[in-house]
Amino acid sequence: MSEPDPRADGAGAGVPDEAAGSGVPAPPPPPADPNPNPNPTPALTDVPAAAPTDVPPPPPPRSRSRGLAVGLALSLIAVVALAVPLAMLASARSTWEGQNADLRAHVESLTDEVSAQNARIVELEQTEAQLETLKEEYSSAVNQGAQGTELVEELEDIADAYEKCVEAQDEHFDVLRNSELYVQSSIEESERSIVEFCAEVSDAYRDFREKHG
Amino acid sequence: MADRRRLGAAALALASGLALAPALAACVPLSPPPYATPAPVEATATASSTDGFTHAERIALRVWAISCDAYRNGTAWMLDETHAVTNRHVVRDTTHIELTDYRGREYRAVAAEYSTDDDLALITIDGTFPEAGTVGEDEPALGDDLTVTGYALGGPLASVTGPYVELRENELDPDGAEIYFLQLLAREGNSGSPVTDADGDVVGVVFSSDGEEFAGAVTLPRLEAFLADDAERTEVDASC
Repeated sequence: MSEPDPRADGAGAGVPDEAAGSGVPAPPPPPADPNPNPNPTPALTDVPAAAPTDVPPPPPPRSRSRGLAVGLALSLIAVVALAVPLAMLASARSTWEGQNADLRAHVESLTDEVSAQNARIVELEQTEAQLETLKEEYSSAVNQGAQGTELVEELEDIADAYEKCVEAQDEHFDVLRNSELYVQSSIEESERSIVEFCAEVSDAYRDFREKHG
Repeated sequence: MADRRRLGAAALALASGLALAPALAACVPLSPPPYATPAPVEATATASSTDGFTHAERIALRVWAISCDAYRNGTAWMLDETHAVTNRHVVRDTTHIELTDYRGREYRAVAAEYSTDDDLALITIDGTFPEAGTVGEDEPALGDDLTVTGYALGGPLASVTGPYVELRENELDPDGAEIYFLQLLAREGNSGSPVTDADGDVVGVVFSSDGEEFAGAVTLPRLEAFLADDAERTEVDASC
């Protein structure tokens, strides 16, 4: 910190000033003239230097030191005041970064788990589809077994009916051979019923073939 | 004057620093992240068993009946270890009834009786069956998806699912009880099939179909009334 120079020419700054407080120093006396001029002309005199001005007195050294100390203290307080939040901010940042890293690791772990689960789901879906197909094939096979039993029974029933039809026709032939022993109307009635029965059997067999191929 | 300004600035910096400090301090202890733990999916009552068949499929039986003049295919479902439920029109006037389950195990009916009011019948089998259906406690709500399990066209075993559309008059018996009208394809052979809800409980019995898009089912209250101990039933006459 430097104080402004109170002198106009600014010379001699920093040099101790002996005439401080008494104005400009007087010039030394001129030497004696050995030949005095009878007609003396007015002697030139040195133009005096700038007129002296009032210079404020510099602050006393003790007051300046106190100002410096106060400024230094305030600066120190300001630095400390800034340093504390900065330190806390750094601590918070460190904590956040740590948690961020943990979170990232956890997210990656969860992502891996989800990927594994998705792969597992795809496998399960494929297995489920295969199981469904197997189930259908199994049910179809079981059903064919049940149907087979039924078809055999149905065919056996139809065969039995055909056998009855043939037997009835044989009996009817005997009746016709001995027609004189029977009432004609009853013979016709018997024949009609046998024909209807055999027709029903034939229809049943036709239906069976249409239904089951 | 300059000193005062400097003092003011320093005091301001100090004050703001001290004010900021608690705010930052409040941020330091972060709360733990909200890690969500996924809940496992719970198995439903209709979930497939280890063999891939649903409970309704395991209790459904293929019915083959011989009447005096025809062979009939239908479906029944086990009510308990010796009784199966089906339709009246499946067993009426029959002389012989055979039942086969989803694994091909065969059973023979030793007796059958039917309702005079609804198209329902109860068959008693020879031997015992390992599983039994559960009759629901609550009627289905309109729009609920219901599943019909049975042997359409004499098999093989299949399940179809569709919504419960409405409670409506039974066109086959206008004076009878109302029926569930379901939007699903049921065909000949599905007669007597159990109608199950999302929990796998039996809530109705299929008895009619348009062969295309809709099916009719006996309602849960009518089924409960038929199964009541004091319900009036008629025994099947096995003579032709």
